[in-house]
Amino acid sequence: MTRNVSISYESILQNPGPFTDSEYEYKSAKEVLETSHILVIGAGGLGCEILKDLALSGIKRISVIDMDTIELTNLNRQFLFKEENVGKSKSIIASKVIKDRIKGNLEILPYFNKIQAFNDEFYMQFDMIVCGLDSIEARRWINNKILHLAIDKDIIIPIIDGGTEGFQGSVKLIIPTYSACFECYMPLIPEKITYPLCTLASTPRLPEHCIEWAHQLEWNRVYPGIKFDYDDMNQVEKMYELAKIRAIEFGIEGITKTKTLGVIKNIIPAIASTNSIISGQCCNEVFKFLTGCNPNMKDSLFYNGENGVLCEPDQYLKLPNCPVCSKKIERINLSIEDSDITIEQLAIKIKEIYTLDNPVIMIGNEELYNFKFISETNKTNSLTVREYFSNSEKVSLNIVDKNIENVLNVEVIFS
Amino acid sequence: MDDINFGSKYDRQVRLWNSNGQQSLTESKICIINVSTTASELLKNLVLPGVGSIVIIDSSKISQNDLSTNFFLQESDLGSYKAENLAKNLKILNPDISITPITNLQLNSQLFSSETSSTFWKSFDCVIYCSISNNSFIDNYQDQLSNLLWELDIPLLKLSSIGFFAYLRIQLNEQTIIESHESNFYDLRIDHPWNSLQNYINSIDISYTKNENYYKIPYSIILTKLIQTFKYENDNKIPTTSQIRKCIKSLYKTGDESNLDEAYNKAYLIMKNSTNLSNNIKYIFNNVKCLNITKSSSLFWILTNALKSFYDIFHILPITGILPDMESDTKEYINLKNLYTEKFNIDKKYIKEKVIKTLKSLDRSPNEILNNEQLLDLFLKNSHYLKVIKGTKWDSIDKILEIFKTDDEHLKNKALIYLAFLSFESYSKEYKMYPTINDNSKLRAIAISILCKNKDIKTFPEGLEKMLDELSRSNGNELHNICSIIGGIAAQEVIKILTNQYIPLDNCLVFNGITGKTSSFKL
Repeated sequence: MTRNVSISYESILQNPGPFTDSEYEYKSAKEVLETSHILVIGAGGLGCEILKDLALSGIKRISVIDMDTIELTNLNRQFLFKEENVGKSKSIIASKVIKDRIKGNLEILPYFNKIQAFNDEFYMQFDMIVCGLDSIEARRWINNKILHLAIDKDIIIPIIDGGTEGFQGSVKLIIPTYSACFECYMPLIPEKITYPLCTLASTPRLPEHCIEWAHQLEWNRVYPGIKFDYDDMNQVEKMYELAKIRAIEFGIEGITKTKTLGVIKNIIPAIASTNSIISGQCCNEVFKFLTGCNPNMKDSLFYNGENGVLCEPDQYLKLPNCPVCSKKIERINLSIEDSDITIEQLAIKIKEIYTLDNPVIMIGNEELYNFKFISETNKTNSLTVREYFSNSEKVSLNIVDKNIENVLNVEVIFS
Repeated sequence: MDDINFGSKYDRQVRLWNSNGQQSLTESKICIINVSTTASELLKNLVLPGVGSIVIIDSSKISQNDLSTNFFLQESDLGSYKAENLAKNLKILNPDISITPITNLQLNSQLFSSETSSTFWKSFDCVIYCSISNNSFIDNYQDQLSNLLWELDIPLLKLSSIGFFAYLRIQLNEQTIIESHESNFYDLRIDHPWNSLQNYINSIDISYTKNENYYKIPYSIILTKLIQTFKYENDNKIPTTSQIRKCIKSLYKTGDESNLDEAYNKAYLIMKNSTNLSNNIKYIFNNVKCLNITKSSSLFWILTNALKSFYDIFHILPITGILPDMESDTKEYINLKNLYTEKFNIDKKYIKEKVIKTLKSLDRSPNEILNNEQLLDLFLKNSHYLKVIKGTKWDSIDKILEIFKTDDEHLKNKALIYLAFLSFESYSKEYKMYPTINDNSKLRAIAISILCKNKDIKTFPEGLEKMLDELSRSNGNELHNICSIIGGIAAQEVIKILTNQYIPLDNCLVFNGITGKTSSFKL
C-alpha cells in the first residue's frame, strides 16, 4: 500500500476536514507554515523534541536559545546529544543534528545565551514562541517581555509553553492579551519546598534537613571561599559527607548521594516519553495555529500517566487582576494649548477616543470623573487640566467601562 | 533511593522507578512489529531509558514519505530496509543496549505459522504491534499473534496513528503491582494506635500548663490524644474536624506554636478509618488466586494471602512504617519514628512467617522469601496500595460493538475514534489501499457492515461520520506530532509494564489531536 504524497502532512493541508474552518485555504496555509519564523526557548529534554517535531511539521525557519551545556545526565532523554558532546553548547549541537537530518531548505539558528540577553527587536522577528523551559522565573521573564510587546507595540506573538515532571506534563497556549498569560497561571503553580532555618539549625528530622543544613550553613564554614558547584561530582560527594555527619549525630537515616544531589539541585525527575508527549502536543498546536487546518485546543492541557492515562484540555480564564496582562496601557498626547481644557472636556475626549459607554475615570483608585454620576463629581469638573494636575508632565489614568475588558490604563502626557 | 545510578545518564529517571525498576528495564527484551513513525517514536522513548534488548520485525523499505515524517530514517538510506536503518540510528542514542532487526520475509512466515514459533515469542517481556503499515503480509497474522501471546502470558500493545487521531489497546492477562506509587495518605493510625504507641501517648501531656515541651509534640500525637479525650467525654462519640480544631485552638499559649498550626491544618486526618479496606485491596482479597494458593502461585499472591490472614486476625492491615515530617524536635520525632519502625518489623515478621509456612506447605523453598528481604519490605510499605489489573483478550470487533448497542452516550463518544480506526483498517485490508476523501461513502459502507455484525445496533452512531471523514482526509498518512504523542504514551505504558511500577492503562485509549484529549475505556 502506498501513500500518494511524498510529504506526509500534504494530504491534511490539501483536504479540509469536517472540523476545519470554512474560510480555510490550502495555499495560504502552506505559505504561512513555510515562512513563519519560530523561536524555541530551551534545547533540553523538551527542546530536542520540539526542534524535531517542528522540523518534521513543515516549519522552515527556526531559532533556538539555550544558555546550557550538555551533561551526562541529559542523555536519558536529550536524544540529539551523544556522550562525546558533553560540555558543548546544547543549542549549537541540537541545531547541527537537526539540520544534518532534515537537509533541504530548513534554516535553523542557535543562540548560546540567556533569554535576558536579547532586546525587543530580537523577539519581534518571531511569529510564534515554543518554550521548553525548566524554570518558572525564565517563563515569567519571557511572558512579561512578550506581553509588553503586545500591550505597548500591538505585536501579538503567541507562546506555547510546555512543562514536564516525571510521568506528568502540561501545555499552555498563550495568545497575549486574548487568553490567560503565564502570570495568570501562577496561583496554580505549587510553591517550591523550603525548610525553616530553625528546623535546619536545631531540630532536623529528615535527610533533607541535614542536606540543606550542609548546603546552606556548613559548606561555607568548612570550605571557606569555595563557591559550591553542584555540577562538580567531587563537591557533591563532599556535601554528602557533611550531611551524613549531621544525620549520624541526630540519628537520622536515609542519606544518599542521589538524594543529596536531588535536594541541592532541586532535581525534577525527567523521562524521554513524557517529553515526547508534551512536545508533540505543543507542536501540534503550532501546526494547527499556523495552518488553520483544524481548530486549536482550549487554553491549557494537563497530562498524567501515573495511573492509567489522563490528558485533559481545559479552559482557563485571564485573571482580572493579573499584574502582567490585565492592564492595557495606551498613551494619548495633549499639547500645551490643550492643557487649558477642563477635566470634563478631557473625560469626554477619552470617552470618544476609546468609544466607551459610561466610563469611570480614576487616578489610582480615586475617582476623577464618573459619567454615571456626573453631579457627584462636578466640583472638579470645571478645573482645567493644568490647574488640576499642577503642571505635572504626565499623569496616569485608570478607566473602567463595560466596553473594555479589565482596566484600561491611559497615560496622558502634557507635551 | 540508593546510589547505584548516581550521576549516571539514568540519574533523572531512577528518581521515578528506583534502581530495581532500572534493573527490570535493563534486563527486559521486547519486540516491535512494523516500522511506522509511531513505532520509531515509541522505540526512541524505550531506547533512551535503557530497555536492554529490542527486536524490530519489518520487511519494508524506506520511501520518500517515510523520510518526511520519521526522524530516525535518513535520506542516504532511501530504498533500504527500514528495520535495519532504524536499528542503526537508534543504537547511536544508547550504545548500551542491543537492537536486532529482522527483515527476512521467509523467517517472518515461520514466526507466525510454525508450531514451534512459541519458543521465539517466549523470550519477550512485551510485544508491540503497530498496525496500518504497508506490510499486509504480517497484518494477516495478527489474530494468531494475539492468541499466541495471550496463551504465553506476554503483554501485547497494539497502536496506530492516522492524521490527527491515534489509538492504543493493551492486551495483558494480569498485572500484579506492588509499587503502584499511589500512596496519598500516610498510615498514622490516629484512630487505632497499637499498644506501644498508646503507652507512649499516655506518657505525654499536651497542655502547656503541664508540659513545658508542649510545642515540640508531633501533630499525630496531638490529634490522637484529642480524639481519645473527646470520645471519653462525649459517650464515645467521634468528633468532627471542626470540633477537633476548636480543641486545638485552646492549646495555644503564644500563638507561635508551629506544631499546633500543623495539627490544625491536618485535623481532617481524624476522619480516616484505618480498618477500612480500599476497593483495590477488597478486590485482591476476594480474588481466587489470593484465596487458593497452589504450588504454581506467584510470590505476589502468596504475599497477599499472608496479608489477608493478617487482616482476618487483626482486622487492620500491617503498618506501612512511613512517617511524614512533623513539626517537633529531633528527639520527639525520632522516638515516634522508632515506634513506627518497631511496629513495622513486628508486622513484617508475621507476614514473613506466614509466607514461609505457606511455601513449606507447597513443598517450595522458604529461600524464595528469605533471600528477598527487599521485596518483603516493598510489599509491606505498599500493602495498602497494591493493585491488580485483570486484562481482556484482544478481539477485532465484538467488544466494541457491545458498547455501541448500549445507551451510554458518554462511553459511545469515547469509543467513536476506535470504531473509526477499525473501519479504516478493515477498508485498507479489503481494498489494499488507504481511503481518501473520495472514498467517504465506501468507508461509511464498511463501518455499517461492521456495525451490522451486532443485531442489537439499530442506528449509525452520531458523530462517527465526521471521524471517518477526518481519517480519510489524511490518505493513510501519519502526522509526526501525533506519532510523537502516542509513541510517548505507549512508551510510558511499556515502562510501567516492564518495571511493574505505577498503574498501566486498562485497556484501551484513543487520542484526538484536534481537542488534545485522550479518552480511555475498557474493552
